Amino acid sequence: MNLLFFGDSNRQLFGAYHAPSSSSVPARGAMILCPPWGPEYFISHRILRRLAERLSDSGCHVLRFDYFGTGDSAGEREDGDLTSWCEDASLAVDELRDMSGFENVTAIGIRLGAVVGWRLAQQRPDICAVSMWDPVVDGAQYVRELIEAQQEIDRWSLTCAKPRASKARVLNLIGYPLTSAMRSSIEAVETDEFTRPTKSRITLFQSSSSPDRPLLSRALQAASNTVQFELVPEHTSWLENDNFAAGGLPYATVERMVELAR
Amino acid sequence: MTPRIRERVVRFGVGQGLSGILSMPRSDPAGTPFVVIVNAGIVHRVGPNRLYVDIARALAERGHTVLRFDLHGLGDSEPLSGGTSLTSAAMADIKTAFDFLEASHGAQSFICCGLCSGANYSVLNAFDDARVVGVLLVDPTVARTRRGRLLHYRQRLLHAATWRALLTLRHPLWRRALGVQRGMAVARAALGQSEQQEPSQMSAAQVRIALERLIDRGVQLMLVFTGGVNHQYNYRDQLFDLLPGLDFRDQLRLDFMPETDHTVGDLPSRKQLLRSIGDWMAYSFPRRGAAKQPE
Repeated sequence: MNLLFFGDSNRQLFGAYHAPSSSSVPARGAMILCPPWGPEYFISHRILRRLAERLSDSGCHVLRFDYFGTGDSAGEREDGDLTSWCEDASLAVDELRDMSGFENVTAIGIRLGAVVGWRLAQQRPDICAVSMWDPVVDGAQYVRELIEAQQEIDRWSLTCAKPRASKARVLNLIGYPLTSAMRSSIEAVETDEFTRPTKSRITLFQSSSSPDRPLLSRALQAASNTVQFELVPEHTSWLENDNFAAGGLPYATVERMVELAR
Repeated sequence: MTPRIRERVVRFGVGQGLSGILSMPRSDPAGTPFVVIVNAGIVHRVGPNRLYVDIARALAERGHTVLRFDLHGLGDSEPLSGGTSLTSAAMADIKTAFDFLEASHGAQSFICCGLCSGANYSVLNAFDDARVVGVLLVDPTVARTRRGRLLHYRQRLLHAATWRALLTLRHPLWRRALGVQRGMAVARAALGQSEQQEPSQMSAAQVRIALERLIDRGVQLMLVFTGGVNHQYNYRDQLFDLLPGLDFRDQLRLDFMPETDHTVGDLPSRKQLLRSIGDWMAYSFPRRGAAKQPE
């Protein structure tokens, strides 16, 4: 694993490049891993590292990276929005192509990162496949759920008397600032977005209990895209306040992703 | 990150198994102790809600060199090898980080910093390593006091959420009454541990011994308690009630921030904390040639 900074010196992005771990395994392609945002980012870090290692064991070149204003990348927490995160991901794809020597790249994304991966596939012909893990399908609903999670915390807090107004310019959502620019870009994510045609192969990882599942399945199939549906067998929690379940590694799902990459 | 600072990836330790980010000023460093930030729980080196990134960059802006790194088994460091306790492994890793900075950058003294378990590890490390001249602890584990307990129960009884939870059978008391174990309780039961046993937790007596030794050694202390540990630390002077008669001399800065959460996540509180840390550093560890100014 090679940890590195890349991109413009004023807008440095952090990345972790995993080359194929063994030369005896044939090289299987290049994969870019797009993380979620905010509170969900922290939960997913271990999962993405595990996934990157297992993919590199099977012969893939993998790049994990942090969007500007997140993780180890430059920028403040209140910088950026979904549009700039897609631009960062595109830069990371260029970096991965340079490092791996592969022309085509598979994008794998979790939650909002899945939306980033999907948009990469719309914008770049070199994205040959996209795997989406519990993608955010309804941005407005996603923001509402985060606000409700914060309000639940506030309700129990002895030191914070009133739930915070949901119309404030910068919301504190489980310790992470959501600016109005972030909010409007996230709320613009709608199911319709997934009806667009793409030449990339699509794999959708969702649990059977996901309320978005039927809606998203219909949207993706509407454009006659090539879609493979995969059931996530484990309960994967993307927020820390979920009864200590967060932070666990969903081994079966990770292994299934590796299997599909072979 | 401003043009005044630069960051680079570092790998160190046996087999380069530990990973971290070094934040440095572009101009001459202040000639003050190096700061080493220790993981909080299982969160990797960016810190909960990116707290460690903000602290490292704010201090680098003021001329300090800061390392935030992942202990073995966390973030991008190599897995933990078996046969050693988490606490022993963490102590060894922090020492390795000091040795690395000493060998590669000529560091001679250190400030150890962390939140929650990272704070507990920082105290334990400082107790053991004479190179530590300062500790910055956010929400370290401390024992409750009688006054704190009474205040807590009073606040809970007056809080609407308590009554709502009792009436809707969602209060933890119901779970306890029904014998339902959840989360950590299940893990502890499986390991045969008691509620009190935490690998990096110290009793009030142990905290007193550790702090006495640090004060005698001239170690500067900054302790921050947030509203996120209100169940444990809920009034400003609790530390002094817990350790009666302990003479902190001129070596303690205590910040009580009940309005913010455990990760100091909201922007105004985060800014306030960074300013406060900067002031403490400037006062406790003045640059070469600068006179110590009263706060």
